[in-house]
Amino acid sequence: MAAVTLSRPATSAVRPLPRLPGDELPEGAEPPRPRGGARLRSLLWLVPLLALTGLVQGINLTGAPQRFDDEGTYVAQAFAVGTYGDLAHYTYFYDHPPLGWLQMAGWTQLTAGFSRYEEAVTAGREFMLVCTLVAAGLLWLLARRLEMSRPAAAAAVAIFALSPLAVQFHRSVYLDNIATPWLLAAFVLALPRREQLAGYAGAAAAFGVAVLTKETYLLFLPFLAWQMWRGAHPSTRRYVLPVAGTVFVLVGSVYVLMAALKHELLPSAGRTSLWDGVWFQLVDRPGSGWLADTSSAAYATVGIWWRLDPLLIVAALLAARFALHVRHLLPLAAAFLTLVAFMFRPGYLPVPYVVPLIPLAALLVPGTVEAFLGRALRSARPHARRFGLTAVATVAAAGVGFAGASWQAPLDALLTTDQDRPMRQAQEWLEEHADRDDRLIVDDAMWVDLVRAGFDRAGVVWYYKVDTDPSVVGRAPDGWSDYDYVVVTESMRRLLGDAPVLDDAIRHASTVVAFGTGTGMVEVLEVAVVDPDVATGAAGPATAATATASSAVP
Amino acid sequence: MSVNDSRSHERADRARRSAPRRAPRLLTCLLGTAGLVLLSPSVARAAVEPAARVSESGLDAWAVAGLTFLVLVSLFLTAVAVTTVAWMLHAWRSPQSLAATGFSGRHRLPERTFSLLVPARHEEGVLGDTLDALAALQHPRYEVIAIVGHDDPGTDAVARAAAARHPSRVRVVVDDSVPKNKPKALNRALQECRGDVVGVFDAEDDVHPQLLRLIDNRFTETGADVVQGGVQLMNMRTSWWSLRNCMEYYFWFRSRLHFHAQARFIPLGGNTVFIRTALIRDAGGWDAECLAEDCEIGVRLSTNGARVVVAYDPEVATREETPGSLKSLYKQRTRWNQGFLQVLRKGEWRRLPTFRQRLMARYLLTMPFLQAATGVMIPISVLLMLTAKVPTPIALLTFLPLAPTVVSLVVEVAGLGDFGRVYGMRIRMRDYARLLLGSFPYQVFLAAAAIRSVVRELRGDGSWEKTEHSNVHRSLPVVAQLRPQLQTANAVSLGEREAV
Repeated sequence: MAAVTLSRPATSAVRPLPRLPGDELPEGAEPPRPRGGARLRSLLWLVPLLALTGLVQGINLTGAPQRFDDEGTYVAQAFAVGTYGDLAHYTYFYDHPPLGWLQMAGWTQLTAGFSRYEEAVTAGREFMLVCTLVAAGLLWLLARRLEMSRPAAAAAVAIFALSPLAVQFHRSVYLDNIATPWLLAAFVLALPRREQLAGYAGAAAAFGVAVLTKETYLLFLPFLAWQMWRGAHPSTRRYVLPVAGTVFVLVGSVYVLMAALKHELLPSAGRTSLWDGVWFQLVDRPGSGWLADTSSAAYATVGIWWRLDPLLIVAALLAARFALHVRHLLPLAAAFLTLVAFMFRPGYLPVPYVVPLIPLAALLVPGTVEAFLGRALRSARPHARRFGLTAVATVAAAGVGFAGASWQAPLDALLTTDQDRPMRQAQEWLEEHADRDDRLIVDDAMWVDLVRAGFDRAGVVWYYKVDTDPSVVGRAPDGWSDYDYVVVTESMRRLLGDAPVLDDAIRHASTVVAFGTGTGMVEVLEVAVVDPDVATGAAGPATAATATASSAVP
Repeated sequence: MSVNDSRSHERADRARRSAPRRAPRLLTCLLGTAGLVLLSPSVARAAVEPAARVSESGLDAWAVAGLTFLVLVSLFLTAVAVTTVAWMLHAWRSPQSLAATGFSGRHRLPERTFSLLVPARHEEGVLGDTLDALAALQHPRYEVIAIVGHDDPGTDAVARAAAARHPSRVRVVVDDSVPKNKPKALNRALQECRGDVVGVFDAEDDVHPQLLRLIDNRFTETGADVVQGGVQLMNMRTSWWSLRNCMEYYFWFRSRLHFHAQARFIPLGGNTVFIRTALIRDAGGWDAECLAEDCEIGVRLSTNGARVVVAYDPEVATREETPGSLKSLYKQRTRWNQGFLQVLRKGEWRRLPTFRQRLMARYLLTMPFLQAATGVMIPISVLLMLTAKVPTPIALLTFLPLAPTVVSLVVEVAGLGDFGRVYGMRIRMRDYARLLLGSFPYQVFLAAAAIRSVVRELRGDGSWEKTEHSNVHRSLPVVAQLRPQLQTANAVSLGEREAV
């Protein structure tokens, strides 16, 4: 056989063999494993902070803020999961992915939550407390992974626990509050100390759960990806990142698969569908107006946040701006600023949009202050060092001082006032005075309580469904006159004018009793007994509407 | 002569192998296909009734049993697929773990003497080059022992010619056992070894000149008893399955074998494996009756507490070619699987010190059984999916095994890109397409081999089926670097073999 040339390069050309990654490992690649002492010191900081978080959120948990419609909806859906084995108490229409209230249902099932409280929403708020505690712990971890010192991490958790904006929104039963721990977990796992592949895969899974809990968290995707990209070493990046991406897509596709298995992926007559749900959220849902327009809903929403904690909002915007110059805070600062900028688009701005911004703000403010403090201390020139120290110390002291002053009043209100009383009184009045087969139009916040008080499930109607759910419309062929009572709350007052049957019912009703004042007022209205002639003549909703229109003419 | 030809399987003997025995991703692939079928809405409509209907009609005992079966199968398949993909990714867990799989860069003086064994049977076409290359390794103290059969004058002549060219390096040992197989040949040569360490190579291996020095370093640095080097199939464009075969080797030696070394239960590869001579002599050499003697010695040494280290660098991995035809790959897989079953039956692994190791052993060695059983289970569960009214949560659960399967496909795509990069080949879109499209048929193929091995073992048929090779992984001078002509090279080489 002829001489054979080997296909590999000539011996002399062999390059140096081992290509050891290690010298220039990216951030977070392999810091030493924390020792027992360090862990103990962290616990000494963290445990009191968690106790503080729990106390501030737990004291007067049910008193403030007053229960509102969304809270009731998510709680009722969790209740439906455990009680009826359905995804919602009405036909599930893919408004949000169901994982949020499925988790809540898991908690209430495990702890028998609904049987422990008079008001079902309280069980939901208890779960929010759990979520906040988990989120606070994860926020500590994230701060530490981002190279913040223990005092700075403690400051982050303290802001997260004490800002009135945080306390009010953390108490309310929002899907966002359930998604936040998953989001924070994703960022913690995206900064793994050792097992990068497992960390990234876990981060992707956690982030998938966050998105399936509240779809708006998808906005964080580019920033989580960025965080992973900069942390991944070139030698393993080509495996690590595709695996993480695949895990995220797989988790997300469970929602699509579920819709497909229920034959609800694409629109079809007489069925809800994922397509319609997404279309509604992205296109059809009425926008909140232009944020700069003082009469817009978006402006009002931001006003709610601003009144609760203007200090944190200003501080966080400033901190995020400066954090763009701090390497380890950069992705989170960019995420914060991008989400803020996103509010200026004309679409729908949900009130709880602020929820994922709170932990970021809590993290960026002390993180940035500390980073610049560190720079001042490391500065070579004594003059600059003194000046920098003074400046940073002044900013920090002023911040603490302002916080003390501006947080006191709203925190006091959150910790002591009973704003939910009108709701409870209205519920009690109904339970006492209404017949169990009466048909009630109510705020969803009391739906579960009334059903549990013995009212027929079909007879207690969430006001939002009166005009929108075909099966509810079908159960009231005579329109407004098929209802006996309407309980009017603030969220319902805001909807009025857009819901024909509901508007008619209110127009034909008179106030029996009202509790509370101002925006917290809850009124019970009794719908007028219909003239039998009109009733027999009214064959359907359309006729009823016509009759209403004519009778409304003075 | 022609009776003893390699085509006569019952008499056939040694073979080279070094062995990615892949866990049954076939399971998940099959299920995945079932999943894809169900994903198409029209089928799904017919197949899965809404949960409400089920609760209305009530579930009878058969339905409950069916659903339970479905759930258990799904969970089982998921567990298998998850372990498989986790082991597949073991080396890339972190930059540090990847660095730890390679050779260290430190320069050390050689400390050991080596005896390199090269069993050859009817391989006169390739053996001469291999011996020349082995004689030129950069190491001061080693010997090469070519082992030829007493009934194989062609190979014998080539080996003796090489010994004449390299009198200080190459020796020839004649194996006169009947019937012949690789472990017998190795045991015969073991008696003649003078080195501190025994290394095994196959007759067509393309060995890197620096390999021995690096292996020597590795022994010094780790204090290991056994060092397994990397082996890589190179002819990825020869046929539709050769690409998948190459990738199997890539993941096995690049990643998974390191996991097994760390878990202290390792089925060794058939070549580029180095064992302290005293240790293998104490252990009584290779098991002459086992069809997977490399796996067997790995398990036996693991059980005796030997420290096994795996070292991989693409540059110095020993290069090989895939079997020449699908049929011979089929026989090779059957033999490996059956070898695993034999090791399982032999039960040496029961003496492993920790429960974890024994569990690992049982899991790994049972793989052929699991593969075969799954082949039966899959159609049943698909049938159930299509006929039973499955509630949505259970229907979702049956898709669970699809998740790790998709991940492993993505990892394979990433791995193919990496493979092309480290071995300097341009990977084209059609290679990726072939990788993905070949996945399912290849798994079916592996399942068939698994079932055949179980049948053969149950029948007590333990004969050797030799794997045939052409010389595709080397470029002949005429066609050097001309990849499109590999097929021609293949034909030429085969022609030569026939002629001899």
